[in-house]
Amino acid sequence: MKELMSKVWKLAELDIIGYADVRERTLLPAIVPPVFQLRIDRDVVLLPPYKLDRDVVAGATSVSLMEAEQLKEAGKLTFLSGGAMKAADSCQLWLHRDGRMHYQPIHEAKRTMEQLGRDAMKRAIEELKDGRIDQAEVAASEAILYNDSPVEPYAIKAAIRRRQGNLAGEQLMAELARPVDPAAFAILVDHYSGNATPVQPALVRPDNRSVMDHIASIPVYA
Amino acid sequence: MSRTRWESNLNSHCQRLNDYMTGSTGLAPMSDRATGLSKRIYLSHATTVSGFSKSWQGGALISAAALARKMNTTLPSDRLEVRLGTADNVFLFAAPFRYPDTSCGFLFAPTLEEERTVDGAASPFDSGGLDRNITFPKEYATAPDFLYQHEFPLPEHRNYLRLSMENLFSRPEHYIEGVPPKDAGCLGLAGGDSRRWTHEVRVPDRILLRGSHLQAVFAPRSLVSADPQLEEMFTWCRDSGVERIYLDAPVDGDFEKLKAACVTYIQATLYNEGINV
Repeated sequence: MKELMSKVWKLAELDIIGYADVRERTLLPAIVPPVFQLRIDRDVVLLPPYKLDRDVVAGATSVSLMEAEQLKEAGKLTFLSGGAMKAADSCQLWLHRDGRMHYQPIHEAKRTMEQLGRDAMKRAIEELKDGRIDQAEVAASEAILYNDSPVEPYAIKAAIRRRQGNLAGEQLMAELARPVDPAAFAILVDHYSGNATPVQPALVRPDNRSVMDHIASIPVYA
Repeated sequence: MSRTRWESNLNSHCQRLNDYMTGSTGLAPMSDRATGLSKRIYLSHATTVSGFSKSWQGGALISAAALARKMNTTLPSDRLEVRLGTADNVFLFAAPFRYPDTSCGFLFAPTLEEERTVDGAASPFDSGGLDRNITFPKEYATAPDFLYQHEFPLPEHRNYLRLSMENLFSRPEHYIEGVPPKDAGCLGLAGGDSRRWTHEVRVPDRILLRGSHLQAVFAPRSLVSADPQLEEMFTWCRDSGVERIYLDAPVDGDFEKLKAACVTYIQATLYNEGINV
C-alpha cells in the first residue's frame, strides 16, 4: 500500500469559518491561524499546523465539520460569529486588543500592528514615568503582543520586575528579549528603573537576527 | 484495562509487520538509528495558550472526563472520545507536536511511560482520526473495535515504532520530520494524514507537570511575557533545568513554527547525542 503526497489547497476555494485559538482578552492582540472550510464540500475543514504561501495553504490537517465542532467544544477553536468569509491570498487574520477581528493583506496588517505596538510602548513609558506600574506593565505587554521584536518593552517589564524585587522575573525578561548585547540590555533596564542615564535603544535592537531566530530559538541559557 | 491484552496485540502486530515486510521488500535489519530514536523520542502535548496556562495553574494535564467531573458536568455522549472510550485519558504523541494547536506545548521525557505501564496504553495511529478521516478495514465493525485490537502496552509500543521506522519509512528520521512513510504497512488504514501513522500515547486521568518528566516547554515569547501564569511557568522551568523554547509571532503566515521548533529541538537533542548512527 503506497502513500499519497501531502495536499495543497487553493485559498480561492476556501472559506474561513474561525481560527484555531481561544484567547482571553488580556492576551490580545494576536495573529491567529484561520480554520478553513472547503467551499465545494462543507464537511471538509482544514486545521493547522500549516503554511500559508500566497494563494495556497500547505500541510493542513483535514477533519470533518463535526470534529471541528467538537474541537470548538473542547476549547481549541473559535468559530466566527458572523458566519463564513472568503479566504484571500497573502492575507493575515488578527485580533485587535479590543477583540475586533481583522483580515487584511499581510504587509498592511504588519504596518498596523507595528504602529499599535509603538503607541502602546509610548503609553508604557508615560505610565512608568508617572509611577503607575500596573498600567505600565499592561501597556508593555500590549506592545510585545503587537510586535514581539523590539527589546524596549521587555526592558520595561524587566525594570518593573526589578522594582518588585523579582530577580528571576527580570532575568526571564532578558531571556525573552534576546538582546544582541546583554550588557546593553541591562543598561536599558537600568534606565527604565530610573537609576541610570538614558541610552540609545538602537544599541540593543536585535537587527542581526538570523533566519533561524525567526523560526524558533533554542535558548542559550538552558 | 488489560495489559495482557495489550501485550498480545503488540506481539501479534509485530509479527504481522515482520511477515508483511518479509513477503514484500524483505525485513530491514535492526538499525541503531531506529532503535535509538524509537526508545528516546519524547512525548508531546500541544495546546492553546488558554489550556497551557490553565494546565500550569492546576498543576497537571487532565483528561476531558476528569475536567468534566471537576466542573460537575458530563461529556456529551456523541463526543468522539466518549464514543471511543478514551475520554478519561490525556493524549500525547510519541512524536513532535502535530495537530491542531499552534501556540504552546509540553514535551515530556519517555520515562513518563515507565510510570504508567499499568494503566497507560498506546496505538500506532491517532485514535481521533478513526472518526472519519482515516478508514479502517471492514472486518472491524466500529472504530472502538479497531482501537481495541490495536492498543499496545507502554513502553513496549516503541518496539512496533522501531519496526515501522526501519521498514515503512525511507529513513527512521522521516517519522519525526513528518515525511510520510514509503509504505503504509499492514494495519489496513487509509486516508487522512500523519495522524494515520503517528503513535498516540494515552495516560488515564492526569499527568503532573511539575515533575521530573517535563523535558521542555514551548510558547510564543510574547505570551510568556504577557501572561503571569506563563511567566511563572517559564521561571520555574528555568530554575528547574527544564528547557524553554520561545517562538516568534507568525507574521509570515507560518503556522508551523511550534511543530518546526519541536523537530529542531529533537534533531538537536536526539540525532547527535547518545544515539549510534
